[in-house]
Amino acid sequence: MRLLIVEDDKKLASYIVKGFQEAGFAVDHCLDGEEGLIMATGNDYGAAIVDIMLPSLNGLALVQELRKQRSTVPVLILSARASVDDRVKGLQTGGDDYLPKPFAFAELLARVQALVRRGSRTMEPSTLEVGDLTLDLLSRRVTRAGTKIELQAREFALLEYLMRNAGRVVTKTMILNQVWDYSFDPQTNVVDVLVCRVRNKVDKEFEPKLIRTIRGMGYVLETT
Amino acid sequence: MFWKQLRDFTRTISFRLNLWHAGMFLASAALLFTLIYFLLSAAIDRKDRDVIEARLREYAAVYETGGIPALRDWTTRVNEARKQRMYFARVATPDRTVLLLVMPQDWFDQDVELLDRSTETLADEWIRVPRNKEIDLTVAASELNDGMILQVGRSSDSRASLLGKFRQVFVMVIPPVLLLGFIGGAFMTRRMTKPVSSIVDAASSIINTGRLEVRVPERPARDELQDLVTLFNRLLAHNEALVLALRDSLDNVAHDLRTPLARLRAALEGSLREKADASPAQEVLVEALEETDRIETIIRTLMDVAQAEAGLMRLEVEKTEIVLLIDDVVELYEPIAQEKGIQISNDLNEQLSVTVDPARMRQVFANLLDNAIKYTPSRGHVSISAKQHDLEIELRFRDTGPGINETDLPRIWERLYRADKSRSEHGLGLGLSLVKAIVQAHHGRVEVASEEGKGAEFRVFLPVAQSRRTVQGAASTDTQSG
Repeated sequence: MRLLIVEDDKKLASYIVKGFQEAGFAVDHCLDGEEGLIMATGNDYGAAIVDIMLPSLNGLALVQELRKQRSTVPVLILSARASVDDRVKGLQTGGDDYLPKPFAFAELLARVQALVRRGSRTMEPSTLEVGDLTLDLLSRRVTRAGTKIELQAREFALLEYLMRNAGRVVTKTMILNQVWDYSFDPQTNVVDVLVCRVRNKVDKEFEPKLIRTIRGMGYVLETT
Repeated sequence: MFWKQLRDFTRTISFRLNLWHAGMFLASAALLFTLIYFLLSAAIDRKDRDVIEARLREYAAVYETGGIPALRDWTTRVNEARKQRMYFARVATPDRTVLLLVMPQDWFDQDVELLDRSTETLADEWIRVPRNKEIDLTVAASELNDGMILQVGRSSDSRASLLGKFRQVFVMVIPPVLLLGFIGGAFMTRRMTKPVSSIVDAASSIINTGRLEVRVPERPARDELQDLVTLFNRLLAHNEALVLALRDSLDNVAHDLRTPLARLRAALEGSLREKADASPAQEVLVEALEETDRIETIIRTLMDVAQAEAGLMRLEVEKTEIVLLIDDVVELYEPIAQEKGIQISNDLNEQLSVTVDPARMRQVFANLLDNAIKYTPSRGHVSISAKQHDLEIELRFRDTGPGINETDLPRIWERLYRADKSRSEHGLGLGLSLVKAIVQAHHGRVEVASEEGKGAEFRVFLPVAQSRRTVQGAASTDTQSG
């Protein structure tokens, strides 16, 4: 799978490129909008990551031009502007997703993977499996090593999110945004307490332990 | 509800203008009627008077030349020539001794008595006495040369009945004319005040939704109200430009801060991925990463507070059940409360709907609950309750924490202010200023009450959805029918 990254910040871009390469993607990078447009129209990409503030042609104009040329490549817009207006503008011009800077790479990766999945129209699996842990999205049943685990609705949502991002670090902010749709800075450790509950149900009586805390970053559901 | 709507309607300018209009119309119609009434009545009198006075002069002349016998002959002849409306004549001494009395066929003795009763002296120049509904008796008198008094009279159409018809017509005509005037007036005032109600519409829509691009529709007419509309629109455009410039500069500041932060974060994450060991360097990297996240949150919250305070916060308002929002927030905090041994009691059960941005309001409630749980010790209690007032809904977040010191109390809403005691704890000191800013952006207000050692109570007052609807409702009904 080949990705296009259009970002004028060389340093930031180099980290993103590296990250995606490590995750198994082939990555093309260009520094300005004009070049980005030429690359995007001339090649077949699985997804494109486009910054808004670009020299020669800005990201929104690039996406608009792409859509005018009937390109259906999924586009994720990156921007240091985080206002709702910008987000709406980004999605209205033809972007498929929007991520404000600064972001956790894990989140960028997760979003791009989701876009690629949507783009290739692969069927969403109805069950998620990590090791001996399985989660059935339809019957909302969770089992580990064949034992049924009872989860509340929010706990289920949290585990689903962790399993979808298995092997990747998810931050507390990501959890708060994704599982609860809350965007604020809690002064209490709400998220930790919830993760702790899920962990008690999923990990306490089983080996190996799946949910690992990464200090200062968040949590990861181990794949092995 | 109906009475309130009626009261609101009677308060409108168009209604009052219309009322004035109708009042003026009625007053001038009444004036006109009175004038016509008196003119008409005088005209009726004059017609009879002229005829009778001519006859009086004629009779006096006859009397002067031939005395009573000549007058008697003359009157008989006059009356015989006429089939109806015959003349009454009487000659009497000043002490009312009658020398000659000519009674027409349609006169009776009572009529003479009626005449005599209504005058002091016989020599009263002009008398008009109503005999019955149809007939008035009219008599003119004159003193003759020899001191005798000659009276000549006739029955005439009743003034009262003639004028009565006029009055009747007036009474019948006035209500439909008044109604027509009222409807026409209503139509006119609606038309005239339409620019005013569209200004009200535009202003309330800007205030309620924060959509700055709203303008008052302009009409081709060139009158004072249209000038007002044009000026108002220019003012709105000016405001919009200022606000957008302010928003832009805020955005640029945030952008300039976020760009290096994004680079920093990516670099830290990159190095962390490379070295997956537990070295002290790794620890530092993790801490640095944590701090960049914190800085990002500060920037975002500061932006939110700044935007809300400057009135730039865009609110996606919709009718929202407070209970659902609170339940949602309580659900989020239930586990941590259990962990800390704090009991949350949520006393909200009735349907309280407000027009708010649900995401923003949830942020407010989450911040308040977060704050309450943070300061409440184990085995403490946090309670949420609501009260419906006339125009607003009050929400109370009460905790059994240490309370807030009197000197800190007024300052806790300030940006980045933290009481000394809480300095050491995690948090940004922006939560409460964000709460205040968001609530104020919704035209609500916040209050705090606390006694040291006994906990604190935060109150949020939000305007009831309904009050806004009536303002808009009154304005929109005007526009629809105008």
